[in-house]
Amino acid sequence: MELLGTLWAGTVGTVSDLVPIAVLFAIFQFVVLRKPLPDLGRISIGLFYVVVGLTLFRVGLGVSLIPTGASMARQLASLEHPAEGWTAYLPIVLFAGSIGFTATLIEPTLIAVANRVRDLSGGTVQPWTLRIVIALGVAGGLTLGTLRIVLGVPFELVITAMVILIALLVLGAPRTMVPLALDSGAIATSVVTVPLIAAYGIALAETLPGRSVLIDGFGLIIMALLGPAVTLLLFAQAYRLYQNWLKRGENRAV
Amino acid sequence: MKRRPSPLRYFPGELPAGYHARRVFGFHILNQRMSDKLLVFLKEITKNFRDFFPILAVVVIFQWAVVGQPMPDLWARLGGILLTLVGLTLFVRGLDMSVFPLGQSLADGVVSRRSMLVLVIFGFAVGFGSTVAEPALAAVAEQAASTAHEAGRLAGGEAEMARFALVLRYVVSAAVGLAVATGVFRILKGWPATWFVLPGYALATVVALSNESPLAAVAFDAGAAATSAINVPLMMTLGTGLASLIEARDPLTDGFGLIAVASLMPMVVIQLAAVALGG
Repeated sequence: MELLGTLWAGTVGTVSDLVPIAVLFAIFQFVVLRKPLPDLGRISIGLFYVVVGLTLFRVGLGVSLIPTGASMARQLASLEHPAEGWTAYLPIVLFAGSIGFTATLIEPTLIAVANRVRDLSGGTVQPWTLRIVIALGVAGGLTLGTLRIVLGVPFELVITAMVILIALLVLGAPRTMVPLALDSGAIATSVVTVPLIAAYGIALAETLPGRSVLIDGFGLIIMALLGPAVTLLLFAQAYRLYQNWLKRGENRAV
Repeated sequence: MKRRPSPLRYFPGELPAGYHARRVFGFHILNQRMSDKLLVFLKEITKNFRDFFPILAVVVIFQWAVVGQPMPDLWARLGGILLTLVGLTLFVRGLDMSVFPLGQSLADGVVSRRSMLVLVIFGFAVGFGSTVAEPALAAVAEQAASTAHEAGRLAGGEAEMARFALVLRYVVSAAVGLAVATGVFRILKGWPATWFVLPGYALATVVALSNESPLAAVAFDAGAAATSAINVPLMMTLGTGLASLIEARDPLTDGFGLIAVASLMPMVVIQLAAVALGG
Protein backbone atom coordinates (compact mmCIF):
# COMPACT_ATOMS: atom_id res chain seq x y z
CA MET A 1 0.00 0.00 0.00
CA GLU A 2 2.86 2.31 0.84
CA LEU A 3 4.38 1.75 -2.60
CA LEU A 4 1.03 2.57 -4.25
CA GLY A 5 0.89 5.85 -2.33
CA THR A 6 4.46 6.71 -3.42
CA LEU A 7 3.62 5.87 -7.03
CA TRP A 8 0.48 8.03 -6.95
CA ALA A 9 2.33 10.99 -5.41
CA GLY A 10 5.11 10.51 -7.99
CA THR A 11 2.60 10.53 -10.88
CA VAL A 12 1.00 13.76 -9.65
CA GLY A 13 4.47 15.33 -9.30
CA THR A 14 5.53 14.23 -12.78
CA VAL A 15 2.37 15.53 -14.47
CA SER A 16 2.64 18.92 -12.77
CA ASP A 17 6.33 19.11 -13.81
CA LEU A 18 5.42 18.49 -17.44
CA VAL A 19 2.71 21.18 -17.50
CA PRO A 20 5.04 24.18 -18.26
CA ILE A 21 6.67 22.59 -21.31
CA ALA A 22 3.28 21.34 -22.59
CA VAL A 23 1.76 24.82 -22.26
CA LEU A 24 4.74 26.51 -23.95
CA PHE A 25 4.78 24.01 -26.83
CA ALA A 26 1.01 24.45 -27.26
CA ILE A 27 1.35 28.25 -27.39
CA PHE A 28 4.01 28.09 -30.09
CA GLN A 29 2.18 25.40 -32.06
CA PHE A 30 -1.28 26.98 -32.08
CA VAL A 31 -0.71 30.72 -31.56
CA VAL A 32 2.62 31.45 -33.27
CA LEU A 33 2.71 28.80 -36.00
CA ARG A 34 -1.09 28.26 -36.23
CA LYS A 35 -0.72 24.65 -37.37
CA PRO A 36 -2.46 21.52 -36.12
CA LEU A 37 -0.31 18.83 -34.47
CA PRO A 38 1.30 16.47 -36.99
CA ASP A 39 0.51 13.13 -35.34
CA LEU A 40 -1.67 13.51 -32.28
CA GLY A 41 -2.21 9.81 -31.50
CA ARG A 42 1.47 8.88 -31.44
CA ILE A 43 2.39 12.00 -29.45
CA SER A 44 -0.24 11.26 -26.79
CA ILE A 45 0.98 7.68 -26.41
CA GLY A 46 4.55 9.01 -26.17
CA LEU A 47 3.58 11.52 -23.46
CA PHE A 48 1.84 8.72 -21.55
CA TYR A 49 5.10 6.69 -21.72
CA VAL A 50 7.07 9.74 -20.53
CA VAL A 51 4.82 10.22 -17.47
CA VAL A 52 4.81 6.52 -16.49
CA GLY A 53 8.53 6.12 -17.24
CA LEU A 54 9.59 9.20 -15.32
CA THR A 55 7.48 8.19 -12.31
CA LEU A 56 8.85 4.64 -12.19
CA PHE A 57 12.38 5.97 -12.73
CA ARG A 58 12.14 8.42 -9.82
CA VAL A 59 10.54 5.95 -7.43
CA GLY A 60 13.08 3.29 -8.46
CA LEU A 61 16.07 5.61 -7.97
CA GLY A 62 14.72 6.60 -4.56
CA VAL A 63 14.90 3.01 -3.31
CA SER A 64 17.97 1.78 -5.24
CA LEU A 65 20.81 3.99 -6.49
CA ILE A 66 20.33 6.88 -4.05
CA PRO A 67 20.37 4.77 -0.85
CA THR A 68 23.17 2.63 -2.32
CA GLY A 69 25.32 5.71 -2.91
CA ALA A 70 24.61 6.97 0.60
CA SER A 71 25.17 3.61 2.33
CA MET A 72 28.39 2.92 0.41
CA ALA A 73 29.73 6.33 1.49
CA ARG A 74 28.82 5.66 5.13
CA GLN A 75 30.31 2.16 5.16
CA LEU A 76 33.53 3.15 3.38
CA ALA A 77 34.02 6.24 5.57
CA SER A 78 33.61 4.29 8.81
CA LEU A 79 36.00 1.43 7.88
CA GLU A 80 38.78 0.63 10.31
CA HIS A 81 41.89 2.23 8.83
CA PRO A 82 44.90 -0.05 8.56
CA ALA A 83 47.07 2.73 7.11
CA GLU A 84 47.93 6.24 8.22
CA GLY A 85 47.55 9.49 6.29
CA TRP A 86 45.60 9.98 3.10
CA THR A 87 45.98 6.33 1.96
CA ALA A 88 43.42 5.48 4.66
CA TYR A 89 40.82 7.11 2.46
CA LEU A 90 41.85 5.26 -0.70
CA PRO A 91 38.68 3.08 -0.89
CA ILE A 92 36.43 6.18 -0.70
CA VAL A 93 38.31 7.89 -3.52
CA LEU A 94 38.60 4.76 -5.68
CA PHE A 95 34.88 3.98 -5.33
CA ALA A 96 33.94 7.52 -6.40
CA GLY A 97 36.14 7.25 -9.49
CA SER A 98 34.97 3.82 -10.59
CA ILE A 99 31.26 4.50 -9.96
CA GLY A 100 31.61 7.75 -11.95
CA PHE A 101 33.16 5.91 -14.90
CA THR A 102 30.55 3.13 -15.03
CA ALA A 103 27.57 5.41 -14.38
CA THR A 104 28.59 7.80 -17.19
CA LEU A 105 28.70 4.93 -19.69
CA ILE A 106 24.95 4.29 -19.16
CA GLU A 107 23.80 7.91 -19.37
CA PRO A 108 21.03 7.92 -22.03
CA THR A 109 21.67 11.62 -22.79
CA LEU A 110 25.34 11.04 -23.55
CA ILE A 111 24.50 8.10 -25.84
CA ALA A 112 22.06 10.26 -27.83
CA VAL A 113 24.53 13.16 -28.12
CA ALA A 114 27.44 10.88 -29.09
CA ASN A 115 25.41 9.41 -31.95
CA ARG A 116 24.45 12.89 -33.13
CA VAL A 117 28.10 14.04 -33.03
CA ARG A 118 29.12 11.05 -35.18
CA ASP A 119 26.57 12.14 -37.80
CA LEU A 120 27.59 15.81 -37.66
CA SER A 121 31.33 15.11 -37.86
CA GLY A 122 30.88 12.72 -40.77
CA GLY A 123 32.14 9.77 -38.72
CA THR A 124 35.49 11.22 -37.57
CA VAL A 125 34.36 11.29 -33.92
CA GLN A 126 33.36 7.75 -32.94
CA PRO A 127 30.59 7.46 -30.28
CA TRP A 128 32.46 4.91 -28.15
CA THR A 129 35.68 6.93 -28.11
CA LEU A 130 33.73 10.03 -27.09
CA ARG A 131 31.84 8.18 -24.34
CA ILE A 132 34.98 6.61 -22.88
CA VAL A 133 37.00 9.87 -22.93
CA ILE A 134 34.09 11.68 -21.23
CA ALA A 135 33.59 8.88 -18.68
CA LEU A 136 37.31 9.06 -17.84
CA GLY A 137 36.86 12.80 -17.29
CA VAL A 138 33.94 12.22 -14.92
CA ALA A 139 36.00 9.61 -13.05
CA GLY A 140 38.96 12.00 -12.78
CA GLY A 141 36.78 14.89 -11.62
CA LEU A 142 35.09 12.75 -8.97
CA THR A 143 38.44 11.42 -7.76
CA LEU A 144 39.70 14.98 -7.27
CA GLY A 145 36.39 16.11 -5.74
CA THR A 146 36.34 13.26 -3.22
CA LEU A 147 40.00 13.89 -2.34
CA ARG A 148 39.01 17.51 -1.67
CA ILE A 149 36.23 16.45 0.74
CA VAL A 150 38.55 13.97 2.49
CA LEU A 151 41.47 16.40 2.80
CA GLY A 152 39.26 19.41 3.60
CA VAL A 153 40.60 21.69 0.84
CA PRO A 154 38.26 24.71 0.29
CA PHE A 155 35.81 24.17 -2.56
CA GLU A 156 36.44 27.55 -4.23
CA LEU A 157 40.17 26.93 -4.65
CA VAL A 158 39.71 23.60 -6.45
CA ILE A 159 37.07 25.04 -8.80
CA THR A 160 39.26 28.04 -9.61
CA ALA A 161 42.23 25.78 -10.41
CA MET A 162 40.06 23.61 -12.70
CA VAL A 163 38.65 26.66 -14.53
CA ILE A 164 42.14 28.10 -15.10
CA LEU A 165 43.33 24.70 -16.39
CA ILE A 166 40.38 24.50 -18.83
CA ALA A 167 41.01 28.07 -20.05
CA LEU A 168 44.67 27.23 -20.74
CA LEU A 169 43.72 24.03 -22.59
CA VAL A 170 41.13 25.92 -24.69
CA LEU A 171 43.85 28.26 -25.95
CA GLY A 172 45.86 25.36 -27.40
CA ALA A 173 43.16 22.91 -28.53
CA PRO A 174 41.83 22.56 -32.09
CA ARG A 175 39.08 25.14 -32.54
CA THR A 176 36.36 22.77 -33.86
CA MET A 177 36.36 20.56 -30.76
CA VAL A 178 36.26 23.36 -28.14
CA PRO A 179 32.44 23.96 -27.96
CA LEU A 180 31.73 20.21 -27.76
CA ALA A 181 34.40 19.78 -25.05
CA LEU A 182 32.91 22.61 -22.99
CA ASP A 183 29.44 21.09 -23.35
CA SER A 184 30.51 17.51 -22.68
CA GLY A 185 30.48 17.74 -18.88
CA ALA A 186 26.96 19.15 -18.74
CA ILE A 187 25.84 16.39 -21.12
CA ALA A 188 27.48 13.64 -19.07
CA THR A 189 26.09 14.66 -15.66
CA SER A 190 22.54 13.51 -16.13
CA VAL A 191 19.83 11.19 -14.78
CA VAL A 192 22.04 8.35 -13.52
CA THR A 193 25.18 10.13 -12.26
CA VAL A 194 23.63 13.18 -10.61
CA PRO A 195 21.37 11.51 -7.98
CA LEU A 196 24.05 8.92 -7.23
CA ILE A 197 26.87 11.45 -6.78
CA ALA A 198 24.73 13.87 -4.77
CA ALA A 199 23.75 11.14 -2.30
CA TYR A 200 27.36 9.90 -2.08
CA GLY A 201 28.84 13.34 -1.35
CA ILE A 202 26.27 14.29 1.28
CA ALA A 203 26.56 10.96 3.13
CA LEU A 204 30.35 11.23 3.00
CA ALA A 205 30.34 14.71 4.56
CA GLU A 206 27.89 13.50 7.23
CA THR A 207 30.05 10.53 8.18
CA LEU A 208 33.55 12.04 8.11
CA PRO A 209 34.38 13.84 11.36
CA GLY A 210 34.55 17.64 11.28
CA ARG A 211 32.91 18.18 7.88
CA SER A 212 29.93 20.47 7.23
CA VAL A 213 27.26 18.94 5.00
CA LEU A 214 26.34 22.23 3.32
CA ILE A 215 29.93 23.22 2.53
CA ASP A 216 31.63 19.85 1.96
CA GLY A 217 28.68 17.65 0.92
CA PHE A 218 27.98 19.57 -2.27
CA GLY A 219 30.49 20.42 -4.98
CA LEU A 220 31.04 16.89 -6.32
CA ILE A 221 28.72 17.19 -9.34
CA ILE A 222 30.50 20.33 -10.58
CA MET A 223 33.80 18.43 -10.44
CA ALA A 224 32.22 15.65 -12.54
CA LEU A 225 31.13 18.39 -14.96
CA LEU A 226 34.53 20.06 -15.30
CA GLY A 227 36.49 16.78 -15.66
CA PRO A 228 35.29 15.80 -19.16
CA ALA A 229 36.21 19.25 -20.56
CA VAL A 230 39.81 18.62 -19.46
CA THR A 231 40.07 15.06 -20.82
CA LEU A 232 38.32 15.86 -24.10
CA LEU A 233 40.51 18.94 -24.74
CA LEU A 234 43.62 16.89 -23.93
CA PHE A 235 42.40 14.08 -26.19
CA ALA A 236 41.72 16.50 -29.07
CA GLN A 237 45.18 18.01 -28.61
CA ALA A 238 46.87 14.60 -28.50
CA TYR A 239 44.91 13.41 -31.53
CA ARG A 240 46.03 16.43 -33.54
CA LEU A 241 49.67 15.93 -32.52
CA TYR A 242 49.37 12.26 -33.55
CA GLN A 243 47.90 13.23 -36.93
CA ASN A 244 50.71 15.76 -37.50
CA TRP A 245 53.30 13.14 -36.57
CA LEU A 246 51.78 10.66 -39.04
CA LYS A 247 51.80 13.32 -41.76
CA ARG A 248 55.44 14.16 -41.07
CA GLY A 249 56.31 10.46 -41.26
CA GLU A 250 54.62 10.17 -44.65
CA ASN A 251 56.46 13.22 -45.98
CA ARG A 252 59.78 11.78 -44.88
CA ALA A 253 58.98 8.44 -46.49
CA VAL A 254 58.25 10.21 -49.77
CA MET B 1 -2.89 19.67 -43.87
CA LYS B 2 -2.02 16.74 -46.10
CA ARG B 3 -3.97 13.61 -45.18
CA ARG B 4 -2.04 10.42 -44.76
CA PRO B 5 -3.17 7.80 -47.26
CA SER B 6 -5.11 4.90 -45.84
CA PRO B 7 -2.73 2.06 -45.03
CA LEU B 8 -5.16 -0.38 -46.63
CA ARG B 9 -4.81 1.51 -49.90
CA TYR B 10 -1.13 2.15 -49.33
CA PHE B 11 -0.20 -1.51 -49.02
CA PRO B 12 -2.64 -3.32 -51.26
CA GLY B 13 -2.65 -6.98 -50.41
CA GLU B 14 0.53 -7.08 -48.31
CA LEU B 15 1.61 -5.23 -45.18
CA PRO B 16 5.13 -4.81 -43.78
CA ALA B 17 6.19 -7.66 -41.49
CA GLY B 18 4.83 -7.35 -37.97
CA TYR B 19 2.17 -4.80 -38.90
CA HIS B 20 -1.57 -5.16 -39.33
CA ALA B 21 -4.26 -2.72 -40.43
CA ARG B 22 -7.41 -2.04 -38.47
CA ARG B 23 -10.47 0.12 -38.87
CA VAL B 24 -11.30 2.09 -35.75
CA PHE B 25 -14.35 4.43 -35.95
CA GLY B 26 -14.03 4.56 -39.70
CA PHE B 27 -10.28 5.41 -39.68
CA HIS B 28 -7.72 3.04 -41.10
CA ILE B 29 -4.94 2.47 -38.61
CA LEU B 30 -1.66 0.75 -39.36
CA ASN B 31 -0.49 -0.93 -36.23
CA GLN B 32 2.19 -3.18 -34.86
CA ARG B 33 0.97 -6.35 -33.22
CA MET B 34 0.88 -6.15 -29.43
CA SER B 35 3.20 -9.16 -29.10
CA ASP B 36 5.80 -7.52 -31.36
CA LYS B 37 5.65 -4.27 -29.40
CA LEU B 38 6.24 -6.25 -26.23
CA LEU B 39 9.17 -8.05 -27.85
CA VAL B 40 10.81 -4.74 -28.86
CA PHE B 41 10.26 -3.40 -25.34
CA LEU B 42 11.80 -6.50 -23.74
CA LYS B 43 14.81 -6.28 -26.09
CA GLU B 44 15.29 -2.65 -25.08
CA ILE B 45 15.13 -3.53 -21.36
CA THR B 46 17.70 -6.33 -21.75
CA LYS B 47 20.02 -3.91 -23.54
CA ASN B 48 19.64 -1.38 -20.73
CA PHE B 49 20.25 -4.10 -18.17
CA ARG B 50 23.49 -5.08 -19.95
CA ASP B 51 24.57 -1.42 -19.78
CA PHE B 52 23.76 -1.40 -16.06
CA PHE B 53 26.01 -4.39 -15.43
CA PRO B 54 29.38 -2.57 -14.90
CA ILE B 55 27.94 -0.24 -12.28
CA LEU B 56 26.37 -3.18 -10.41
CA ALA B 57 29.75 -4.96 -10.57
CA VAL B 58 31.50 -1.94 -9.01
CA VAL B 59 28.97 -1.79 -6.15
CA VAL B 60 29.20 -5.56 -5.56
CA ILE B 61 33.03 -5.56 -5.55
CA PHE B 62 33.28 -2.71 -3.05
CA GLN B 63 30.46 -4.07 -0.88
CA TRP B 64 31.88 -7.56 -0.48
CA ALA B 65 35.62 -7.18 -1.01
CA VAL B 66 36.27 -3.85 0.71
CA VAL B 67 33.46 -3.42 3.24
CA GLY B 68 33.01 -7.17 3.78
CA GLN B 69 29.42 -6.94 4.96
CA PRO B 70 26.17 -7.98 3.28
CA MET B 71 24.32 -5.24 1.43
CA PRO B 72 21.62 -3.58 3.55
CA ASP B 73 18.04 -3.86 2.12
CA LEU B 74 19.33 -5.99 -0.76
CA TRP B 75 15.94 -7.07 -2.11
CA ALA B 76 14.35 -3.62 -1.96
CA ARG B 77 17.31 -2.25 -3.91
CA LEU B 78 17.18 -4.95 -6.57
CA GLY B 79 13.45 -4.24 -6.97
CA GLY B 80 14.26 -0.54 -7.22
CA ILE B 81 16.79 -1.19 -9.98
CA LEU B 82 14.16 -3.13 -11.92
CA LEU B 83 11.70 -0.21 -11.57
CA THR B 84 14.47 2.20 -12.66
CA LEU B 85 15.22 0.11 -15.75
CA VAL B 86 11.57 -0.17 -16.83
CA GLY B 87 11.11 3.55 -16.14
CA LEU B 88 14.24 4.53 -18.08
CA THR B 89 13.22 2.42 -21.09
CA LEU B 90 9.68 3.86 -21.19
CA PHE B 91 10.98 7.40 -20.65
CA VAL B 92 13.52 7.32 -23.49
CA ARG B 93 11.01 5.67 -25.86
CA GLY B 94 8.32 8.19 -24.89
CA LEU B 95 10.65 11.16 -25.48
CA ASP B 96 11.49 9.78 -28.94
CA MET B 97 7.79 9.55 -29.75
CA SER B 98 6.56 12.85 -28.35
CA VAL B 99 8.84 15.60 -27.09
CA PHE B 100 11.66 15.29 -29.65
CA PRO B 101 9.59 15.18 -32.88
CA LEU B 102 7.40 17.93 -31.45
CA GLY B 103 10.45 20.03 -30.58
CA GLN B 104 12.00 19.36 -33.98
CA SER B 105 8.87 20.35 -35.93
CA LEU B 106 8.40 23.41 -33.72
CA ALA B 107 12.03 24.45 -34.21
CA ASP B 108 11.72 24.04 -37.99
CA GLY B 109 8.51 26.08 -37.98
CA VAL B 110 9.95 28.84 -35.81
CA VAL B 111 13.17 29.03 -37.86
CA SER B 112 11.13 29.37 -41.07
CA ARG B 113 9.44 32.46 -39.60
CA ARG B 114 12.83 34.22 -39.96
CA SER B 115 12.20 36.50 -37.02
CA MET B 116 15.00 36.93 -34.52
CA LEU B 117 12.62 37.97 -31.74
CA VAL B 118 10.40 34.89 -32.12
CA LEU B 119 13.50 32.65 -32.19
CA VAL B 120 14.98 34.16 -29.03
CA ILE B 121 11.64 33.91 -27.18
CA PHE B 122 11.30 30.32 -28.39
CA GLY B 123 14.81 29.60 -27.04
CA PHE B 124 13.80 30.94 -23.63
CA ALA B 125 10.58 28.88 -23.67
CA VAL B 126 12.42 25.64 -24.56
CA GLY B 127 15.07 26.18 -21.88
CA PHE B 128 12.62 27.13 -19.14
CA GLY B 129 9.90 24.57 -19.87
CA SER B 130 12.21 21.60 -20.27
CA THR B 131 14.30 22.35 -17.18
CA VAL B 132 11.25 22.47 -14.89
CA ALA B 133 10.54 18.87 -15.94
CA GLU B 134 14.10 17.62 -15.23
CA PRO B 135 14.10 14.69 -12.76
CA ALA B 136 17.80 15.06 -11.82
CA LEU B 137 17.34 18.73 -10.90
CA ALA B 138 14.30 17.83 -8.77
CA ALA B 139 16.39 15.23 -6.91
CA VAL B 140 19.21 17.70 -6.18
CA ALA B 141 16.76 20.48 -5.18
CA GLU B 142 15.12 18.14 -2.64
CA GLN B 143 18.55 17.11 -1.31
CA ALA B 144 19.55 20.78 -1.00
CA ALA B 145 16.29 21.62 0.82
CA SER B 146 16.64 18.81 3.37
CA THR B 147 20.34 19.58 3.87
CA ALA B 148 19.63 23.28 4.40
CA HIS B 149 16.88 22.28 6.84
CA GLU B 150 19.18 19.98 8.82
CA ALA B 151 21.93 22.61 8.86
CA GLY B 152 19.44 24.97 10.51
CA ARG B 153 19.36 27.46 7.65
CA LEU B 154 15.72 26.77 6.86
CA ALA B 155 13.07 27.29 9.54
CA GLY B 156 9.74 25.49 9.33
CA GLY B 157 8.79 21.94 8.44
CA GLU B 158 8.07 19.85 5.36
CA ALA B 159 6.01 22.55 3.65
CA GLU B 160 8.82 25.09 3.91
CA MET B 161 11.31 22.54 2.51
CA ALA B 162 9.04 21.73 -0.44
CA ARG B 163 8.65 25.46 -1.14
CA PHE B 164 12.43 26.01 -1.03
CA ALA B 165 12.99 23.11 -3.48
CA LEU B 166 10.29 24.45 -5.83
CA VAL B 167 11.64 28.02 -5.80
CA LEU B 168 15.17 26.72 -6.44
CA ARG B 169 13.92 24.72 -9.43
CA TYR B 170 12.01 27.64 -10.96
CA VAL B 171 14.95 30.04 -10.50
CA VAL B 172 17.31 27.54 -12.16
CA SER B 173 14.82 26.96 -15.00
CA ALA B 174 14.51 30.69 -15.70
CA ALA B 175 18.32 30.92 -15.73
CA VAL B 176 18.53 28.06 -18.26
CA GLY B 177 15.88 29.77 -20.40
CA LEU B 178 17.97 32.95 -20.37
CA ALA B 179 21.03 30.94 -21.38
CA VAL B 180 19.29 29.28 -24.36
CA ALA B 181 17.93 32.66 -25.50
CA THR B 182 21.48 34.07 -25.38
CA GLY B 183 22.78 31.00 -27.21
CA VAL B 184 20.25 31.38 -30.05
CA PHE B 185 21.25 35.04 -30.39
CA ARG B 186 24.92 34.02 -30.44
CA ILE B 187 24.40 31.44 -33.21
CA LEU B 188 22.46 33.97 -35.31
CA LYS B 189 25.27 36.52 -34.87
CA GLY B 190 28.01 33.92 -35.40
CA TRP B 191 29.96 34.69 -32.23
CA PRO B 192 32.14 31.84 -30.88
CA ALA B 193 30.75 29.97 -27.85
CA THR B 194 34.04 30.35 -25.98
CA TRP B 195 33.39 34.09 -25.57
CA PHE B 196 30.44 33.22 -23.34
CA VAL B 197 31.63 30.08 -21.58
CA LEU B 198 35.04 31.15 -20.30
CA PRO B 199 34.00 34.61 -18.95
CA GLY B 200 30.94 32.87 -17.47
CA TYR B 201 33.10 30.43 -15.54
CA ALA B 202 35.41 33.28 -14.52
CA LEU B 203 32.41 35.24 -13.19
CA ALA B 204 31.04 32.21 -11.31
CA THR B 205 34.40 31.49 -9.64
CA VAL B 206 35.09 35.15 -8.82
CA VAL B 207 31.70 35.41 -7.09
CA ALA B 208 32.44 32.18 -5.20
CA LEU B 209 35.91 33.40 -4.17
CA SER B 210 34.85 36.91 -3.18
CA ASN B 211 32.19 35.94 -0.64
CA GLU B 212 32.14 33.03 1.74
CA SER B 213 28.53 32.03 1.06
CA PRO B 214 27.92 28.43 2.15
CA LEU B 215 25.50 28.13 -0.76
CA ALA B 216 28.30 28.37 -3.38
CA ALA B 217 28.76 24.60 -3.65
CA VAL B 218 24.96 24.09 -3.82
CA ALA B 219 24.78 26.68 -6.61
CA PHE B 220 27.49 24.96 -8.68
CA ASP B 221 25.89 21.54 -8.24
CA ALA B 222 22.38 22.79 -9.07
CA GLY B 223 23.73 24.26 -12.31
CA ALA B 224 25.44 20.98 -13.17
CA ALA B 225 22.24 19.04 -12.39
CA ALA B 226 20.03 21.43 -14.37
CA THR B 227 21.19 20.14 -17.77
CA SER B 228 19.91 16.61 -18.06
CA ALA B 229 17.85 14.05 -20.00
CA ILE B 230 15.06 16.29 -21.33
CA ASN B 231 16.63 19.67 -21.98
CA VAL B 232 20.05 18.53 -23.28
CA PRO B 233 18.63 16.72 -26.36
CA LEU B 234 16.21 19.60 -26.97
CA MET B 235 18.97 22.22 -26.71
CA MET B 236 21.20 20.12 -28.96
CA THR B 237 18.39 19.80 -31.54
CA LEU B 238 17.78 23.55 -31.42
CA GLY B 239 21.47 24.55 -31.53
CA THR B 240 22.73 22.17 -34.21
CA GLY B 241 19.50 22.54 -36.21
CA LEU B 242 19.75 26.32 -36.22
CA ALA B 243 23.46 26.23 -37.07
CA SER B 244 22.93 23.82 -39.98
CA LEU B 245 20.15 26.00 -41.43
CA ILE B 246 22.38 29.09 -41.60
CA GLU B 247 24.92 28.61 -44.38
CA ALA B 248 27.94 30.28 -42.80
CA ARG B 249 27.67 28.24 -39.57
CA ASP B 250 29.08 24.81 -38.83
CA PRO B 251 26.73 22.59 -36.76
CA LEU B 252 29.59 21.06 -34.74
CA THR B 253 31.47 24.30 -33.99
CA ASP B 254 28.55 26.74 -33.65
CA GLY B 255 25.73 24.39 -32.63
CA PHE B 256 27.43 23.23 -29.44
CA GLY B 257 28.37 25.54 -26.57
CA LEU B 258 24.72 26.16 -25.71
CA ILE B 259 24.58 23.50 -23.00
CA ALA B 260 27.69 24.76 -21.18
CA VAL B 261 26.13 28.23 -20.87
CA ALA B 262 22.84 26.66 -19.74
CA SER B 263 24.59 24.96 -16.81
CA LEU B 264 26.66 28.08 -16.04
CA MET B 265 23.81 30.56 -15.83
CA PRO B 266 22.13 28.97 -12.76
CA MET B 267 25.50 28.89 -10.96
CA VAL B 268 25.85 32.66 -11.36
CA VAL B 269 22.16 33.46 -10.73
CA ILE B 270 21.83 31.40 -7.52
CA GLN B 271 25.04 32.81 -6.09
CA LEU B 272 24.04 36.39 -6.87
CA ALA B 273 20.58 35.76 -5.37
CA ALA B 274 22.21 34.32 -2.23
CA VAL B 275 24.46 37.40 -1.95
CA ALA B 276 21.49 39.73 -2.47
CA LEU B 277 19.44 37.93 0.18
CA GLY B 278 22.31 38.07 2.64
CA GLY B 279 23.69 34.55 2.13
